[in-house]
Amino acid sequence: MKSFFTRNPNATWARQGLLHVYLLPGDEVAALAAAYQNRLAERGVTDLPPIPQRWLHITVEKINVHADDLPQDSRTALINALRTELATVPTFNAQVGPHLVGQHAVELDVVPDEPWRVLRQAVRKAATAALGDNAVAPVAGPGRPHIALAYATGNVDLEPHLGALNHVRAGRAEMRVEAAELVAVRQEPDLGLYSWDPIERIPLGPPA
Amino acid sequence: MKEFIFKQGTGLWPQGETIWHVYVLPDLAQDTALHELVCGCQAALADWPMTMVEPELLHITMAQISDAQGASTSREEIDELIAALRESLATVDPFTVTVGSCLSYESGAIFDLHPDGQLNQLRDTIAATIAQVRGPASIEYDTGVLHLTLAYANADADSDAAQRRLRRVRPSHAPMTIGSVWVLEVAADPDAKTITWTAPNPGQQIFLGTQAS
Repeated sequence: MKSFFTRNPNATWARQGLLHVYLLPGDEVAALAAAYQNRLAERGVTDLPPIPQRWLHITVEKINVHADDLPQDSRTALINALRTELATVPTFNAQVGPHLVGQHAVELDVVPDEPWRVLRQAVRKAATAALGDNAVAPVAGPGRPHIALAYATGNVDLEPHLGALNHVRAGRAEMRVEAAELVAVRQEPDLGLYSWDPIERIPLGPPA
Repeated sequence: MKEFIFKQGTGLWPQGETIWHVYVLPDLAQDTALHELVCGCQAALADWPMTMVEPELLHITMAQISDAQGASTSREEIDELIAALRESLATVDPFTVTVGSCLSYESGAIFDLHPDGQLNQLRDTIAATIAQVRGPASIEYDTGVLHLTLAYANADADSDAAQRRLRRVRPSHAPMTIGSVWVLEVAADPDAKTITWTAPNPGQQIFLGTQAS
């Protein structure tokens, strides 16, 4: 694994406070993440700091606007558009786990994809309606929902630890998704995490 | 990712020898979503230095009869073992597990199986039966965390990159019915990285829960 925060020239943020829409998991997911994080700690893995429970998240979409640049009327328009669009997205359950070791992070898999993709499309529609077509990046692919439990902050060889991670039989966690969070995100490479200031909680619609 | 090494018990699998195993074999004609998942993951790693497990050779290793090789194991011994397993598994109900996510692993690519509980119970029942029939030396092989192997590594490879490819395969999970186990005489080819067995007779399949039916 190589550092998540230098994985490409644009990986390190020049400015903080970038708007995102996140899903925030609860205690059940946090316990699952902790089981893997604890095993990594037991194995003495370095440059792979555990992400604290409060900063665990599923990214739904990045909005290409910094909170400081957003006038009040635009902020209101964005929130209203999100409220309108997300009200059409049914609440859903996701299953979280097992761990997946990627090139830059250890993540928890999240399935099924489809409800998350529907939500993502709704967020993208709201963001472009309120802030213009450049508010979100063109879609490179369908995307894969996931929860990072640790980002690499340097070169990490996890090969000797893959078996130990697989022996963490913590099962799967259920995550009920009833709302998304509009947040202003800070990148903290030294801590190996993203933190944020909450802006607005946006409820999803009733269950399908 | 490192080359996979086949084992008998705690040692190396002797070249050219067969060893009896107890496997769960997926029924891909019935579990079609699993067949699709297997094909998708194998396609994702098609150019990787791995030997793909042919769909008809997919298996979950529940136990290895580790105290003898096939050549020195009589048919009567196997029949005795099958009879004992038939009795002990008659009270185990069939069940379903979820196959996935597919994990890039130390020595290949494996499917995680969830939940563990009934699978582990089945494994333990099988091991206890084998030990009862043949003694403790017959269960020295460590199955580890039960899994379904998709591919065996045949050279060093970047497991992180393999995982990235596997992540693109969606849906990433599929149900698998566990309704029987097979007692099979298995051959391993350490060069080709294959596990094979000759076509078994139906008497080598032991259905779960036959007592209830």
